[in-house]
Amino acid sequence: MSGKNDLKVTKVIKAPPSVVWKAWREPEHFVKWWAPAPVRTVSNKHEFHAGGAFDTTMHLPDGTVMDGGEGCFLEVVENERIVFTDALQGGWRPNETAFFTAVITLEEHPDGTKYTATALHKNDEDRRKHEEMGFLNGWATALDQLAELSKDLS
Amino acid sequence: MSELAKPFDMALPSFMKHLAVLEKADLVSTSKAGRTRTCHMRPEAMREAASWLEEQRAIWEARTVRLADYAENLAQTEKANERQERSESDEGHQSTP
Repeated sequence: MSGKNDLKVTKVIKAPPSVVWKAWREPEHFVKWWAPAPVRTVSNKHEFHAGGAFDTTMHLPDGTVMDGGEGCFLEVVENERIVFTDALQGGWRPNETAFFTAVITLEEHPDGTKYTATALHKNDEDRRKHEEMGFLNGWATALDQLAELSKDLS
Repeated sequence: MSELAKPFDMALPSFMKHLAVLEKADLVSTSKAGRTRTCHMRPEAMREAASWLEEQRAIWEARTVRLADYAENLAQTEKANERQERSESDEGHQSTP
């Protein structure tokens, strides 16, 4: 991994790769773990093959619906590898903006599956757009308040 | 700068050291006019420092933990189902000689 905007998460899952694969492949399973409770994930498109569309919406308890936009699976190798991006939509059609490509790998492990998720991010302009879209909260909100406060102080 | 240090229960040189750290990290900038040094906050730099990447990491880490829990449960359920099917078919064999 070379890019400074990359991140990598690794975990050994005590289940065979075929089961982890199923949890990814079947929308009924996928929606159960993709977003944290109490957010409810709705899978609109989950075309689990190269060039297939990937589209979920998040439903918050207060009724807010967050549309993640349509992404595209770039590579789907059974029990081994999933690559998808928000740079494209189904059928490899380019999206307006691009932020990330995610590479998921599954490897046999004595305890089950070695699962690795790598996210490659584009920086600056598109990150700012994501921030403006309210993609980041928490810290960003706190810092906005701090910025306001410092404006008042000066 | 001494004005800035006033509310803090800290000697001015110590306060300067703290500010120097912030300045080195580009979180504040200072400028000097005559004998007065003025300190400016750079909230935009703090925003960058808030690290959207760490936020993404937290999302992916939590998501991976949820997947692990879910897949582990799914594997258990499938194993239990298989066992049940096997025992049912064994019984089936016994009842049909």
